[in-house]
Amino acid sequence: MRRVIMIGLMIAFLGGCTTSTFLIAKENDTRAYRFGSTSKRLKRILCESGDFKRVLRDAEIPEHLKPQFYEYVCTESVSKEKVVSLYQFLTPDERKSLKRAFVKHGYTVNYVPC
Amino acid sequence: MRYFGFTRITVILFILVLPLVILSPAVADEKAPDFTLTSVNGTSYSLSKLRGKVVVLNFWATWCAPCLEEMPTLDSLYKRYRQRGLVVLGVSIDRKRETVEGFLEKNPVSYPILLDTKGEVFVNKYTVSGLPATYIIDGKGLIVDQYIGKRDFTSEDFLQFIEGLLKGGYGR
Repeated sequence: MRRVIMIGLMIAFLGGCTTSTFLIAKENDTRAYRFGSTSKRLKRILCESGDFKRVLRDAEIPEHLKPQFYEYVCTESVSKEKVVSLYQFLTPDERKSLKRAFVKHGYTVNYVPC
Repeated sequence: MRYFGFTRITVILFILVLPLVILSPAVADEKAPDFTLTSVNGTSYSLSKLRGKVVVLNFWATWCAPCLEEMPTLDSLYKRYRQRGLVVLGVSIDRKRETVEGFLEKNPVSYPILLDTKGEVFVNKYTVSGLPATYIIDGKGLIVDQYIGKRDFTSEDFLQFIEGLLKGGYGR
């Protein structure tokens, strides 16, 4: 019975993990953030440094999505939901390219189950 | 293992699961954003022009395996209820029309497939958070249910739900 409950909870937990992006951490920084997080510290690291512009420049994703990513990550219109939606809109190859661009500019990318 | 006993693990998992359950995307009675998209056949579809009909709006992509797995059941649903006014709209977010056309040649479906190659409906109007995503819209243009992830559209539970909506109720 215990095993059934445990498995049920695990399935419920993992089953709810459909809305996600990935974790990023700047080199030499101990903290990791989910891409799309509204954290002010992440905004400083990613946006004010100019890193995200460079990441977007190098990422092979549709050009019309780049200003939208920037708007929802780095401006007053910051929106976790929009970033998740934009990320979900990307094809698998485009997602890989975006992650590679983060790595190129000094970020560690971690894959998380949700 | 003694430290992390059954009760403790259960409580931790419950705490982790609870927000997911509470925050699950069960939007009820929210007005469905209007849109106009063109099908692979070149026909234009506007949601507002389908007012009075029950609409199943399904977002998918050829690279999304769960999307492709659920398509046959969505097609069965459409074939079963289209005479009674059910509308099923598949919205592909693939980048190229040819990709979708090539897929449909090998895997035909009877419901219309619309193209949202720029993500204007997917991102800007519905802000979809995963694939596949399905929205159930009633005759008044309200979203009465939505699902993220693969679904069996021929399940008894779902058929009863659709039956209820076609009769003018909520079905649940």
